[in-house]
Amino acid sequence: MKLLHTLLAAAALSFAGLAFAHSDEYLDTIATPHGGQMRMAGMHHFELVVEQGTLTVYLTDHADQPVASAGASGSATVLVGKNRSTIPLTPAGDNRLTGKGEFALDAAMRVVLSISVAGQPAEQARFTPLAPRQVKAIATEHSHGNDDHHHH
Amino acid sequence: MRIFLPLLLALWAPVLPAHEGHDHGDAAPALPTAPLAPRFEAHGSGLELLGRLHDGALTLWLDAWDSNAPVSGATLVLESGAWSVEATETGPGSYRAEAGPLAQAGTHNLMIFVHVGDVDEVLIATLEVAQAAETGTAAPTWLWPGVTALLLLATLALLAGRRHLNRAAAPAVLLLLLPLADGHAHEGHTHAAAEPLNIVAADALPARLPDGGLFLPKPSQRLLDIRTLPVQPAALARSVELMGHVIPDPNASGTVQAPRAGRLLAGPDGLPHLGQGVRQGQMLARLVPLAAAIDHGEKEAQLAEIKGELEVAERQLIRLQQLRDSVTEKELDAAAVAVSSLQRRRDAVAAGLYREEALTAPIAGVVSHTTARVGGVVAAGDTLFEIVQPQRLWVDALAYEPALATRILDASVRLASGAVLPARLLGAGTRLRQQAVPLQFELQPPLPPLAVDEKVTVFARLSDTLQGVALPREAVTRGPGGEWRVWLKQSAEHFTPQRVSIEALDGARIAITSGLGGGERVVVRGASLLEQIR
Repeated sequence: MKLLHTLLAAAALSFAGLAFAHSDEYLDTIATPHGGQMRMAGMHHFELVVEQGTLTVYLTDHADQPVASAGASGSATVLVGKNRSTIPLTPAGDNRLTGKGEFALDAAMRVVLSISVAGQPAEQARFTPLAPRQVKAIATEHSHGNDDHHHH
Repeated sequence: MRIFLPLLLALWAPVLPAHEGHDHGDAAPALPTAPLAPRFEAHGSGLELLGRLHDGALTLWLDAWDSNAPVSGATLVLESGAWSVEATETGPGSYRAEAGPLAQAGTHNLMIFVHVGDVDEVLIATLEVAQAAETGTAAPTWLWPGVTALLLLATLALLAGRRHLNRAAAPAVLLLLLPLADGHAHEGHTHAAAEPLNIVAADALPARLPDGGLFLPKPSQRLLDIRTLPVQPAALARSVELMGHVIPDPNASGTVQAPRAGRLLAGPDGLPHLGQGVRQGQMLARLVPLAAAIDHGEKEAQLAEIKGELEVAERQLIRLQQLRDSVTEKELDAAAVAVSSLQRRRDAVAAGLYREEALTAPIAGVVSHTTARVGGVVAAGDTLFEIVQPQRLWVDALAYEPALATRILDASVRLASGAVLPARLLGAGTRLRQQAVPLQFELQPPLPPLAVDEKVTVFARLSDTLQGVALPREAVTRGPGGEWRVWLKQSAEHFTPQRVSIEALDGARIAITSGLGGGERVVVRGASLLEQIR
């Protein structure tokens, strides 16, 4: 019995690490609600939309349900070649966070978001927002919120 | 010990590859056999970074994501919150940085700025540091029960009588020493972290995981020189394997044989040794013809007779010349002709008796075989020397399908040493030999040292194709059940075996016809070493 408990505890703890269930490669193949790039960060999804001078982040949970951005805070580290800038992000209604800053739009652009949602520890995600990617027209095999998720 | 199992699983979990889709349930979590030092892993822009926290310092290994080759000369800057440090390179692709606040227990979000060549990249990682172990000065937990037991036994022994002391104390001392020998008797021990000693040992050693996979720490990978290759299935030319042997190119090799029975003498440069280069027309040996005793006697008699006749003819000629005025020109001429004719006959017979014959190289090359000895007597037709040109060799192979030759695009030849040489099909015989069609291939120079008659394997690439993944031959190993398998790199330090079906492609490569879907990173160098890790 003791062994069973140990194994259960072991299984539970090991699955905690598996919360990173979607590979970046997989996320890049699905169509996102706002056309940005989506990444996993802890228990959340961040979707990043990059426009000239503006970064917009949409917060959703693992079932793609919007998470209110009120009370969230964070920053974006933007790297384009050797040029690096840090852009603070502020809540902008609904599930949005925005930040403004100077950066060049380039395929080599890298963005690291570090966002703390509602007082939780900051969650990090890395984006290659302007790198070419192939989006599937209909992401049928990615259905969220079903029974597969009870281990989270 | 019970508390360790979940702990080490938790430590291992971040190293597990992220799963595609939602099939989390099927893959059993792989676990190392001992706790690991905290580590993190990140990849991007074709780079793979592994960091390990140990002794208040971070060791970082930077490799090419696809090939697993160390990446040198990179600038690595680590940031966590407001803290930042630049790593220094300590060896090819190995970097070191002070851990600073990362050494404290907790979850640390990291950004790693990488600059190497024309790549500027930022990677992210999470470093989980468990509560630090209590310092080594605290007495091990087994000590107190041991000491108590010893005291108790000693007291009992004293009470029971002095003569029992030695017998009772011995087990108590053993009780104390046993955990020392064992080194990890931590049953029921409630410390949250592992012994530092164990961490060092576990980190230094590769380990076979219960699911058959392999935990191979980065330093071991560097030692074993592990290299990987991302694979993609493609249409590959089918090929067949033929057994063959090396033969000399008949246009670039020759034989020196004795033209008649005789006795060998060395030429002006002595007899050639094996491997000696010779020119075309170079004298290799001299042959003194042998004649049977009766033949010899007859020849001697004939010679004596000719010599006698010659003497008579010469005297006759001198006499006629003295009487020049009274003899006709015709008589004089006839006598002169008789003398010269007899001289030629004498020379010819004498030469037949004593003449040496020069044995010369028919072609330039290297002496590959010799049976010559000075004074040795040889029969007519005996082979004395064989000469080959080492860069001009052919392969004679047998095919069991008469039409095969028409489908061969090109060929390669694998030697017993494993070396692979390109070859060209010359043609096929139309007469069966050992129930097979003989094929001849020309080896393309430059050639390594090869021996005539050496057994080789010919891989003939055919015009028909198969669907599969081409890999170097050494990427495939034999599993414990004798099955063919390859090793896949799942993450920076995690390798798993994969059963595959294979077909021969050419001397250096094989085709994986099933077992790989494409996109995997397959170990192409050091796979046999992975197989040996237990």
